[in-house]
Order: sequence, then structure tokens, then C-alpha cells
Amino acid sequence: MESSHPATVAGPRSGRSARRPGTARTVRLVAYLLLALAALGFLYPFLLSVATSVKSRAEVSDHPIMPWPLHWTNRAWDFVLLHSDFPRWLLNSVVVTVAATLLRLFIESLAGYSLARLRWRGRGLVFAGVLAVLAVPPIVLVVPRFLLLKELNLLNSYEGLVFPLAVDATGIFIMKQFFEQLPRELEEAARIDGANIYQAYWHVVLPVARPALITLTILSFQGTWNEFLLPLIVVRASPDLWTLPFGLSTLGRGGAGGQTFDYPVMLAGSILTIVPVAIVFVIFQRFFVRGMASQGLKG
Amino acid sequence: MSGDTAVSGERPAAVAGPTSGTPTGVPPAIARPRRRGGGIHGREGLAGWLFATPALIGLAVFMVAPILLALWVSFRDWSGLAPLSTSTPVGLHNYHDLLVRDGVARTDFAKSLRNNLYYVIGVVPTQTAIAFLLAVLVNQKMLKGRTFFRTAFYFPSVTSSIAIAFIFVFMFSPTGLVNTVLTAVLPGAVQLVWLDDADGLLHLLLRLVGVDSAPHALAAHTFMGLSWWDWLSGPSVALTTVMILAVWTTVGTFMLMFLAGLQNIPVELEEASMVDGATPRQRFFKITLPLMRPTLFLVLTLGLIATWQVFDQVYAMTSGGPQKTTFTPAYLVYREAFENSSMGHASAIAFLLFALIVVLTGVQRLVLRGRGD
Amino acid sequence: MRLRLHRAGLAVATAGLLLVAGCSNSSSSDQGGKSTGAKLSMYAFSSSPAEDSTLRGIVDAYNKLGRNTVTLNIVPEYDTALQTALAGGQPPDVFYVNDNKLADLAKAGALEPIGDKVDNPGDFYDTLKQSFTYQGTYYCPPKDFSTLQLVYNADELKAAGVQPPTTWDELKAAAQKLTKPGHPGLVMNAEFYRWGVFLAQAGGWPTNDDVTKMTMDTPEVRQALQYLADGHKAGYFASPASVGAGWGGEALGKGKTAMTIEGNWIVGAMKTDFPNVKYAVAELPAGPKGKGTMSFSVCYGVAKASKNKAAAIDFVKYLTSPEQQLKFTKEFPVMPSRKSLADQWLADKPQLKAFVTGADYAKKSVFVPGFKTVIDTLNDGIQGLAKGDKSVDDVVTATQKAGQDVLGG
Repeated sequence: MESSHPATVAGPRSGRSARRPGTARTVRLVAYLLLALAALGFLYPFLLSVATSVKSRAEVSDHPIMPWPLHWTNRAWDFVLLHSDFPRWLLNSVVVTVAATLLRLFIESLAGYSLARLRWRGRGLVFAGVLAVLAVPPIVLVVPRFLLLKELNLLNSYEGLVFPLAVDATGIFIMKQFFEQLPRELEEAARIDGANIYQAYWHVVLPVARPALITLTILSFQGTWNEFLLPLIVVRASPDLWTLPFGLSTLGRGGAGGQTFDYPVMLAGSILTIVPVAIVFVIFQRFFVRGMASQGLKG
Repeated sequence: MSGDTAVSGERPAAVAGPTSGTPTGVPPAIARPRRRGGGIHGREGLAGWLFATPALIGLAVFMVAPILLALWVSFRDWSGLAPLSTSTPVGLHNYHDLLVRDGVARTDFAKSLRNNLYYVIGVVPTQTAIAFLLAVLVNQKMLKGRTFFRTAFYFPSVTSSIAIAFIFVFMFSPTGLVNTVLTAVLPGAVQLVWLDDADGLLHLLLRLVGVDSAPHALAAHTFMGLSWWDWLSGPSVALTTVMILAVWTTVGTFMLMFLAGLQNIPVELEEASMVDGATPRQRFFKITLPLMRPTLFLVLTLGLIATWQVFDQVYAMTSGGPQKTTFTPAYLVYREAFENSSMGHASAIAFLLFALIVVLTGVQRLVLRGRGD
Repeated sequence: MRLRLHRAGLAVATAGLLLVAGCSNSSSSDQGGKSTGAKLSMYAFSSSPAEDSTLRGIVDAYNKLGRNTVTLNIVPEYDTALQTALAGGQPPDVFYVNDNKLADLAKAGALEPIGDKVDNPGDFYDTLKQSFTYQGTYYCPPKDFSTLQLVYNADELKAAGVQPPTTWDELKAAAQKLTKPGHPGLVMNAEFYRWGVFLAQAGGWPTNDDVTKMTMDTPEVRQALQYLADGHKAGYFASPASVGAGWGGEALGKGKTAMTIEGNWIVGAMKTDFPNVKYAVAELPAGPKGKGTMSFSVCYGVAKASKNKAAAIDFVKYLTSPEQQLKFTKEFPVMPSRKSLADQWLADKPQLKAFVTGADYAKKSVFVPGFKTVIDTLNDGIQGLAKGDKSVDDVVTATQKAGQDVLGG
């Protein structure tokens, strides 16, 4: 993002700070202090979680804020990886995320292109419909989606987890937005060379759309991976099909009615749930940012 | 059109031109002169429908049909324990239970509205202010390591809500990080059982000045089954914990939006004002802030919509307790449907919530239009 | 050419679909095996790994008989999961039913009445059968039952020179004596399913015996709630949350209290989580109107929507056979629901005698369909009393009103 306005700003500012070096230094110091404090606030919980996951339960209650363990123990990780259903949930999450993302890419790039570039009767109306659907909060759909999936015989199945997530209006919006920015000459050249609409789309338009497709992939990956509400209603009754977030919500509960928290286990599970997103996040940060910015368009 | 600022921050050259000022629903492409013949146009029509069909089917089946179905169920009495065909039509009964009839259903709904109202009042301004402050800091070109800070602040926003909820449950446990730090800073002052404390913050404040129970005037009058005293409780300590989590996880996203807006401010404007000898403070209030207004409204709108839907965190942290002080309409929908065997109530609440969000968004739009362009 | 391109697009979609379909196949095939009869699914809940493995052992033993194949799911947050499965139209064939849920499930027509179809049905306690009877139909055979009693840290009481209390006054004195900073004398969950024992001891109860009238607004109920509220206010009684525990057993195990009120399940949980804590069980103290406690039971329900009812009944027969009941209740000490097993069970674990004795006078939390909202309201109030931010008056009035809503008048 910084690259958007190279050097232009730096010039005058540095001139200023040369004029009043004392103030500038104080301001910079305060700014750093604030930033560092904030960073601590945002990162320490994660650090603490990692440390806690390798502490014993006794140590956790005696030293709840130490960012490293006094006595290293693998108990929680052992339990999560070897003695819980966590690997099963992980597998389910991967399957659902990959399938939903593939479907989303396919469906939404087509729709976005159609709405941006092809002229057809009813297009305006359809787009208005997509915009309206953007405004519907997912919680409103909980009960009826449950009913609908029941009627379609998709409760307690992978399909039931994937299909409702395979289209979302935001993705269509992002793709439409992107295709509108492409120079028209691109397809026109292909069409003059004798390609029809489908060929032009497949061979010329889609390859150019890579940045938008990656953005969509990232967005879909993150959304599907973290999705909690849908598994809660669709596969609640089939432990075999639980995905990570819902499985995680049942992890580390002990005692007669599940009211005792085994913090190291809960946090080990949390970390494992976060890590895949974290990796993707660090690699594709720029696309996350772009995706977030596009989601801003919802408003 | 506030959204443009957000996107154009990313790809300023490409977007700023074509989309700004385009009314939604009418893509600019339409206005272009048509060069191709009718035949191709016809085929384009077919292709257009073909391309859009999978998406249309998906949206129709999983978005539109459910909305209609929800509306239908909200007029029926259905326990959810037996097939839907066994349900009976009850007219406006479910809505009547929630809004008019004196009973547990209405009181619960009232509590959920109260809680969520405090949640919104607490979370939206706080997250907006912190996000703006962080954006301004991260936007300071003289600072090093800005990418690192930006990443650190944004990271919580992309992670699983349940994982974050667990981390917070741990930090706010009676012997956890927060209480340990509080005890170290203010020895013996407060030992809070954060997630199990139903005391409202306003009630606690009043207790400090000696008002321990409801004054007669407030206890005597009720609205929707809750006394005024109960309406004026403020968020409970437990709900406040959820609010802190909400701020923590959303600040990063909104910071990025502000950042996009800040970077979109024309450099020439700043330079011109500097030549004119404006102080940094003047520049901030006279130039930066007015230009950021669209982004500000965007952030407020998004914040408002999101805070009225809080569910995951409540489910994972408090299950609506203690004493129903973390009930929210969204959580109530789930609870009525899958715990209290009342799909009809659940659907009716869902619709009332939907209406509320639509109205709030509409009001925001109006305000935006009135002041913005 | 156009066709080919179109196909390419389709291929992406079908790839996605195939992936989905392929995976869902694999999930259902991993339970194949060498079954000869029907495939049954079962839902259960469990309070400890010990109970888990006992139950799995019994199901495995049944599967080895070769009659049918049962897939056991031990489900957290059980009631919600069961409700979701029922609403989804694909309920498990056999599932646990909590006694406080029976009325709702029976009324909704979710249960097949199989109560009398097991061997020697007369052997089950009548009072338990009553719990699983709705409007004259006896739906499902009880699995076992538990009662609440006083569970205490034997060493602590000895060190303080305190005898297990037998009256409310003694309980108060004992709790006061055992209270230290951060360590209340008695810790119990702030909910009806614990506080209810004091209502019973005072001669009160939320409703009359027929569950046709609310009886919250009575001197008996008020007396019990006041006694508890006073104790919480003074700090010698407390809720688990206030000492950083999730339930009474955890508070006792962590040494955060000397006494708690829990049921049979505490035995399994203590064995797993706090094997070194020496505890004992005594009868709850008697109140103004004598002794009182609560009992909880679970039955094996068969879904009305089950496609394998005969097989399901065969399985339930197996589960409720004296031999299997004894096996289950031996490992995990809830009490058998068959009268004929009582002596044998107790001979094994005399230290748990108090739980058995409680069965004679225990009250059950079995009401009418839709009564959950009333109990929720009462629980709200109880939490408020434990915290000290509600008055007995508020709680009594609110619950009475909520109950009249459901019972009508």
C-alpha cells in the first residue's frame, strides 16, 4: 500500500522535520510508543496462548501471564493431535473449504463477467437483486436454511456444508468490479480474431483476471475456514462431519457437564485452527487487504 | 458511494475515475457506444444468462427461498421436534408473543434488545476511534516498520471467532491474565469473575454513589416487561468482556479502511496547505477529517450492521448468561429454534432483527446522502 | 469449439462436485464391517472419559453378537444436538432422553412407546417409570438414576473438627467454620438442579404434585431461598464461578471449598481429574420439613422416525438387561434402574450409600412441555440471589408469573 504514493510525500515532510527536529522526534517517539503498546495488545494474546498450550494445568493457574512455560509438557498437543477428533475436523475443514472455494471461483467469475460485460435483458434487475441479497444477515437465514437443506436431504452431509457457501454476493461484486476495469479492447481483439464469447472469456479474460481470482480465493478460504454458524446447524448431529470451528467449540471441556475448561487443550486447538489462516495471511497479505477493501463496498 | 474510497486506496489509478459517482445498479459500461451488430448482441444475451445462471440458482435457493420460508414459518407454530407438516398456522401470534403479550418470550426479547443496544453503543464508537487512531499512526511516513504494525493489528480480524473467543475466555478467567494484571496494578481493588458477572456497568456506577436499588420511579414503570431500571442497567460485566473482544477483532479491518481513505487524500492538497503555512493540527481538522467523512460513514455503517448480528462469541463465551445479560437477538434466534423448540418464535425474531438492520442501514444512507455528496 | 470450452467450465464445477461427493461416500463407508442385521445409530452423553469407555465397551460387545451394528455418538451439548437431529428428520434410532425433556419429546410425537417391551418391565422402579410416562403412556425404559447429596473433603472436615451436618443450622455452622478467604465452606451451582433440594427440605416446590398450579409464592419456597441467599451474601455458601471453578466437583477437587452438592457423576469425574482428593458422601441435611433431595434419570428412547424399530428395541433390551446394567453402573457409579440390582450394586460400593438412601425421598424435576422457560427464569433468579443482586421477592414473583404463563392460571 505504501507504494501507492512513492516519495511524493516524503519530500516536504522531511523538510519540515529539518526545521523543527526536536518536536518531530518527540512526536515520533510518542507514535512509536503507541504503536508498540497496540502491537503488544494485539500479539500478546497469541503468544500467551502458544505458551499456555505447553504448560501443565497447574502451572496455567499459578502463572497465567508468563509467555513461556517453566516446565514444558506436550500433554495438550498429544491429546489434540492423537486422542481427539481434531484430525478428522481438520480434514473436513480442508474438504469443505477447497470445494466451496472452487465452486465460488467458477460461479462468481462467470456471473461477475456476465454482469460487467455482457448485455442482456434483465441484467440491471439481477444486479439490483445481488445488491439486495448482500444486505441479508446470515442469522436471519438460520432456521429456513436448516429447513431447506432438510427438504433437499442435505443435512448431515458435505454438500450441505458446501452448497450454501458456494455463492455469495460479495464475490460476484468483486468480480464484476474487476471486469469493469479491464480494457474492452482485450476481448474485442480476440473476437476480431474469430473467437466467440466463451473462447474469449476462457482464453483471454480469465487469465488476465488472476489478481481478482486470487483475492476471491483468499476471501473464500478465510470465510469458509472460519465459518461457524452453518456447521452448527447442518452437521450438529454428525460428529463425523464437524469442521474445525465447531469441533473446536467442544474441545477441552471436562467435568460432569462440560463446565470445566482444560485451557492448554482449548488453546492448542485454537492455535492449530488459526495457523493455516495465518500462513495464508502472511503470504498473501496484499490480497487480504484488497478483499477487505472490496467487502467495504457492502455498505 | 463511500465504498469507492476503500477500493481506490488499493488501486488508485484504475478505480478512482470510472466508478466514483456512478449510481449503484447502473454499471457505466452500458453507456458506452455499441459497435457490434444485432446478431452478436443476441448471442450475448444468451451467454449473459448462461454465465449468470449458476450464481442465480445458488442465490435463489440458498438466499431468497430461505427468506421467504422464514417469513412463512414466522406465522406458524412449530416445535421443530416433529415434521414441518405437523405445524399449524397461528397468524401474528409469534410476533404478538415477542412484542405485546406479557410473558417470558417478550421479556427475553426485550433483554436481548437492551443488551445489543448497549453492545452497539459501546463497540461502534470505540472500534471506530481506535481504528482511526491506529490508521493515522500507521500512515505516518516518517515511521519505520509500518507494515509490521499494520499486519499485527489486522491479524486478529482474519482468524476464527471461536479460537479468539477461547483465548479471551482464558485471559478473562478468574485467575487469568486480566485479573492478575489488575491485581498487580490495583492491589485488592477488584476481583471480577468477568464472564459470570451480571451486574450492569451503569448500575455499578450508581452503586458507587450510593444508589443500590431501583428508585421507585424507575422500578414502577416497565416497557416490554422490563422495568426502566433494568433498561438502564448498562452492559453487564460479562457483556463488556464480549464487547472488548469485538473491538479487538474488528479494529484491524476498520483501520485498513481508514488507511485506504487517508492514502486517497490528494497529495497536492496537503502540499498546498503546507505552503500556505497551515499547522499540522489545522491540516488535520481542515483537510484530513472532512475528506475522511465518507470512509467514516462507511466504517460506522459496517460496524452498526455487524454489531447487531453478534452470535459466535456469545455462543462460545457465555451461552447468553449470566442472567440473560448476554442474550442478543441473533443468539435468541438460535436458542428459540434449537433449544426451546420454538421455530416460529425464532423466525419472527429473525425477521424483526432483519427489519431493524434494514431500517438502521436506511437511516445511515439518508444521513450519508444528506451530508456526504 | 464452443462446446469444448463449455465443457472445460463444467469440468471445474464437476470437479468440485465430485470432490464433495467422493468425500461424503468415504465418510459413510468407514462403518461397513461384517454386520448382518440393521445399522443403528445411537446418541448418548457422557460426564467423563471413564463413562465414555464403559459405554463404548458395552456397544462393542453388542456389535460382536452380530445381530445389528450400532454406531455410537457421544455428543456434547446433548439436548441441542438431539433437537437438531429430530428437527432434521433423521434422528438416531436410539438415544438418551433426560427425564426433564421427556414431556416435550413425547408431546411432539418424537418417541416410540417401548417402555414395556424390554425384559421383565416390572423390575424397574415405579417412580422412575413415572418419570418417563406422559399422559398415561410409558415411553422408554429408564437407564439408571442419580441423586444429589453432600460431598465433602474428608480431611478438611476432620482437621476442622466438623461432623457432616444433619440440619440447616448445622450446615450453616459447618460452612461458616470451614470458610477461609477465597475458600467458602460450601460451593454449589447456582441453579434449580442444586438449590431445589433446599426447596424440598423446606416442604416447598415450584409446582404442586400434578404440575397444574405454580406454588413458588409460598412461605416454604421463600424460606429456602432466603436461607440460601443469606448464606451466599455472608460468603459461607458460594457458586463455583465465584471461586474460578466450572462446577462443584472442580471446586472441591481444586481445594477451593470443603463441601459441595453433587450427584453420582462426581465419582467418575473425581477419579479422572482429581484422583488424590479424599472425599466422602453424606446425606444432605434435613430442613424444616425433613429430608429432601432431587433425583435425575435418563431413559433409552427409540425414535418414532426410526426405520429399524425392531432392531432398536433389541438393542435397548440388551442395554437394559440386568447383566449390562450392572456392568455399566459398576464402572460408572450411577444407580441401576432395576430394583433387583440394588443390593448387589451397593455391596460393591458401600461408601456411596447416601445416594441410594436419597432415592426414597427424592423429588424429580419432571414438569410439563414448555416448562423449560420457567426453570430458566428460576435459574436466572437463583443466579441473582447467589450474586446478591436480586431479592427473594423478585425471584418468587418472576418465576410464579412465568409458570402461570405455561400452566395457565
